[in-house]
Amino acid sequence: MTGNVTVDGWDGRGLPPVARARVERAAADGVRTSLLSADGLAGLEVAGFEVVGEVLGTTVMQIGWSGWGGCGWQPVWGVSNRGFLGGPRPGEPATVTRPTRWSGYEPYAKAIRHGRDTALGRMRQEAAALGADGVVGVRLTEERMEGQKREFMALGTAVRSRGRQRPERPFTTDLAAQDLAKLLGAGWVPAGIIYGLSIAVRHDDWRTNTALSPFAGNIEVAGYTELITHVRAAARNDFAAQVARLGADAALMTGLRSRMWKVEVGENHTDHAAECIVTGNAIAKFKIERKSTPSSLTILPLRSMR
Amino acid sequence: MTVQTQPSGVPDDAMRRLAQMRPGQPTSLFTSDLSVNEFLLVREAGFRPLGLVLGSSIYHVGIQFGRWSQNRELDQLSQAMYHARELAMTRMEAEADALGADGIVGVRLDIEFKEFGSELAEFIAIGTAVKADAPPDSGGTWRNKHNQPFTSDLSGQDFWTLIQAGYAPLGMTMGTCVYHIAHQRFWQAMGNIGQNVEIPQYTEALYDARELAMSRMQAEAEQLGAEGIVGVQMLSNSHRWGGHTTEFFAIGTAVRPLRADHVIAKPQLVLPLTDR
Repeated sequence: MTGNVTVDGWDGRGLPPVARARVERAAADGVRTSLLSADGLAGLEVAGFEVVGEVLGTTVMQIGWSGWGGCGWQPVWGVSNRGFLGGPRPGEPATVTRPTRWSGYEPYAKAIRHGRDTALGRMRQEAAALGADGVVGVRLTEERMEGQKREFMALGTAVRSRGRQRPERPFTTDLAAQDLAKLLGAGWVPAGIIYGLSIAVRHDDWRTNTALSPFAGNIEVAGYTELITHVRAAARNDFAAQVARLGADAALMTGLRSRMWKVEVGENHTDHAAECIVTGNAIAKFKIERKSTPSSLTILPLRSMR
Repeated sequence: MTVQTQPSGVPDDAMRRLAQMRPGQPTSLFTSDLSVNEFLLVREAGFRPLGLVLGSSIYHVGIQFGRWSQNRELDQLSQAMYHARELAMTRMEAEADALGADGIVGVRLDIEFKEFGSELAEFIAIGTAVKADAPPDSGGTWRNKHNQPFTSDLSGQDFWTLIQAGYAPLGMTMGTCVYHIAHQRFWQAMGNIGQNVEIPQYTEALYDARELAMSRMQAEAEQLGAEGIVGVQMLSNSHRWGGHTTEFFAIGTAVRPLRADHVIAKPQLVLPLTDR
């Protein structure tokens, strides 16, 4: 990454010159761009924030080597099936970041993390340069480009509190501004976008292969269940660990995506790998002076459903 | 839901809380996949989210063929769908039980057939475990009569309304039936060309399959001692079995009354300023 200097003299640190120029101009003039809907803007008003501007962070990464060289089979007999999995066992704090011999997909996971964190970080830098307190309605996307390149992009609307108190660094949330207002009214503040990630591979042993035979009838494929359960548990643990690392109190999950695929490891043998990514918002509780729990109002909207 | 903040609410306390956040400080952490609206409504209904709970099973569904011209249930496939869903649900309930939950709200039950194996499907149940701040007014517990956490596939909004009206969810009930619908015989198909007619054997097959699924769901509710089932969905999906083999799946939340009267506040009429 470093060492490569682009034509306009950017070494990959901080913001690219074009972004810096745009942010400086946005900070100087009074024009505020935003990605919010009219409802969102009203919600922001209720919550006590004002729009500062639109912020963006993006990075393109080449994910060439996904790591991985064997079939994840651990020649240890007499241990529970957990030992056959790449990566840490369920219940252990860290996920693929733990450097074990069997966590073959670590470079891939690291690349994904790096891409997401860089995009979010650059977006936050832009927000900080604009003097914002937070970014709402963030859209974090991942797009595969030709070859093995992937673009990570974070796009959101920077907002600033009307009060005097400033957080140390801008918070981020992928919640809409209306939801921000509702949360603040109930005594919760979004602390940041977080995600948990886990990837593991499992050797297809003979028991797994037996369960897959067309004559096996109705049977649970225990090996696959174990692999996917493990990956999900690890991603959820990672997610919870990130909330704790931020010092927040809770998290509202907005997405859980998992996928499983075949890996050709050698002639006539395939193994299976699975990944899971959990995305959401860390939220923190604060004391509100007046007990202003949101009250529900039973209303009947006067509109037709179709 | 309305939020009572002063019109020019200044979120100083919120910003102060962010400034005070330190890594690793002790927290009462929970995660939940509820939306903000659902989260706040569940809180207002008197329930605290404990955490996301999940159960999953990857299942090899056996093979069974129906005779070309016969309407019948493919019981082996029905059984597979039952068994695999049961595995996912009980695993999710076990997670909730371990958290000491009173119930699970917002449960989603999905099936995903995998690309890497033609008879392989993943069954997944996911929801948010909740604990009540207080036992129900009428006494007893929120758990069902098997002392298991209740399950409900209702949204947070529906859950709130249900509790307000004096009902409590008991458990998700389902019924499934995989049915092979007979093909038309050649001369019958020939005779129907260009005509507007009912094809009685198709009608009968669909009736038969749906009735089986619904009565099975009803039996589950009776077992739980429910007063009724709300939010029933009747789904039909042929998964990967081709056009004539279809799963009919009925699912809903069984409820019990908490008190004799069921009043709900008279709704206020509003005219929303949105076009949708």
